[in-house]
Amino acid sequence: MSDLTSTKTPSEAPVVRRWQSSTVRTRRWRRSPHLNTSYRDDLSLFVYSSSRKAGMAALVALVLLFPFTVDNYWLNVANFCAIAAVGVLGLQIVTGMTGQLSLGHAAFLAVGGFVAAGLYLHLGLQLWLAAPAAMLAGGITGALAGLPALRIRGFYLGITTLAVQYVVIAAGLKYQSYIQSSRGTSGSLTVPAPDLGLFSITSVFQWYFFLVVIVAVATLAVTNLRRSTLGRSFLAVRQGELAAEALGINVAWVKIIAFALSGVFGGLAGSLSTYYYRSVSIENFDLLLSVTYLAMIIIGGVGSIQGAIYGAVFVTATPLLVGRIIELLGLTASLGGALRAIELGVFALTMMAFLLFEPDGIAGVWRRLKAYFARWPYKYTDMTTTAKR
Amino acid sequence: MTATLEVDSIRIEFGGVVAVNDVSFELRQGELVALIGPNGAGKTAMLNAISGIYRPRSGEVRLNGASLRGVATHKIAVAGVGRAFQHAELFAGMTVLENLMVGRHRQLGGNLLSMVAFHGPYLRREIEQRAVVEEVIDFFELERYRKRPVENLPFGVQKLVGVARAVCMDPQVLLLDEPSSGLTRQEKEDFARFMLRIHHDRGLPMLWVEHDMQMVMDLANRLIVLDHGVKIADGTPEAVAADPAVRAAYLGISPDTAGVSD
Repeated sequence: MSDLTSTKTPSEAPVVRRWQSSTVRTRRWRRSPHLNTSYRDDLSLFVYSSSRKAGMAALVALVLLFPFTVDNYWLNVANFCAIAAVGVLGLQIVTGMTGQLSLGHAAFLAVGGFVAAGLYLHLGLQLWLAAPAAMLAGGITGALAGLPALRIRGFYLGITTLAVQYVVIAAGLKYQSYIQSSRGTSGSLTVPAPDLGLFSITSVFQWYFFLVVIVAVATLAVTNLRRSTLGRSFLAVRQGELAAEALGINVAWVKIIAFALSGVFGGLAGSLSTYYYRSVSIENFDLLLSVTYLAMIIIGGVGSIQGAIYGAVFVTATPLLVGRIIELLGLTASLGGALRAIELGVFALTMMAFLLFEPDGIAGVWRRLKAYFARWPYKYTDMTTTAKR
Repeated sequence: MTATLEVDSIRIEFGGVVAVNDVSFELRQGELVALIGPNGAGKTAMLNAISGIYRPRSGEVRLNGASLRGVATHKIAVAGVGRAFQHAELFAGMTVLENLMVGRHRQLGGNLLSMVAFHGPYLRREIEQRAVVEEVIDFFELERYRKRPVENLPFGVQKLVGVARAVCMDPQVLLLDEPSSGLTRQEKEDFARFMLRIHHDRGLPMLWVEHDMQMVMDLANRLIVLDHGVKIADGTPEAVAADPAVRAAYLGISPDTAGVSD
């Protein structure tokens, strides 16, 4: 059977035939979103519906116009969000999709950050070479961190990934003090503004567009991975290792790949943050950072790719937003001292609210909204026919 | 005719408890064999031993003459042992289509970069395997559930998807663990029809654990009866039904033959 439309179900067949007889084969971009005539079209990421096209155009416009409408403060916030989004995609693969608890994601960021800094300090390599190297180093660290997953699972696995984090922090601390004592630089390891050959990135404005491209490419890569056989294996391992194994999936191998990929994205985010801040310091990669990344996938939606982005933006921007609101309300004098406590309080409350009321996270809210408007003005929202993404 | 699946004096122990004691049987090409017995007779343990989930204490399983002793579960699956679980064990969060595509995992290998690009040879393979899966969807009449997430489907459909997923693997033998339990009368009859069609169209040897005696008597070519981990009968449905040891195991009467089951 090569054609989807020749299904044999009596209830479906007449509808399809009527459509075919009255409509000539339309151009690709005008095809119906609900009727594909080849598997290639059915596998296409871009659904040909006018509302979808309008949505995409709106998103692109928003992303492109954003930097022209805000000041450097918010541009900075956006860049923090973008770096976090790259990093959290890795955690989403290993914890969200594959279901392997990783409490050591900060370790992969640290490896990426330090490899990028080290390559510059020793070999003078710039970001365009340091980023792939950081991804490789992160991937290797990830694969090593994933080895215990072959024998243990659940919370026990979480604790071993925590151990990886402490090993990396210890190594980073050693390296940092070695550099400081041998070169006499005070504080942290510094790198210059990234030079990409054709142009260099010096302002937050340039960084914004650079990071937007990276986030877009990373998101596309993970989306493709998710719909490939490897992505299906990830979900299969999360949902039932025994059944996955009985279907011919090498569960041990899939887990190691998931950890390695998590390290690749973590490493990339780490190298980006090193160059963004122009310096790296091991003190920033503590357990709190790992937990913050976990919070991003929980708030965004566990296992959802767009949820990872939402979560990264939400968790990164909320404390800064709260700070700004307090400032704008003129409460800095009275509340300024407790600013950090308020930020953490807001963070904790939203975290609890999501765990209690919306386990599917922001992605789940978005999905429900879309289902609601798909049926509007009818009240009934059918959530059973749409898969989580 | 040579046997597709040979089970050679398998013994499974859990601690000191003997779950399966020295059981041997064969499954020949195109045969529909039911494995029956009272609760706790060791039927599911037997299936788990064949698919490599349990390691038998002694004995071995051979598939087309090749020993499966010590082979990893996923390699046994790739070698051609398809398995449908008692509770379907579908992968929630994925659609029916994606669940079935997992069954084509073996044919879809490729390097990581080609998957990330989702282009060229990998996309072509995905399309080819999609066509194969669509045939199975067609076969099991699952068209209208194709893009539905499996967790929201009625249980009867879920079990059917479980069997379809195993069929997608192009197995040499199909192991079905109580495929009809929890189904309504109507669903059971539909299911019987699918089993007969797999049997006739594909000639796939099936080892089928079942509690519904009427279904077993109507469909199976051969019955194997286990009781307390011991094989007490192996033969045509008529012969097995008349066997006094089987009657004793099921009904607990006839004291003169009751000792057989121990």
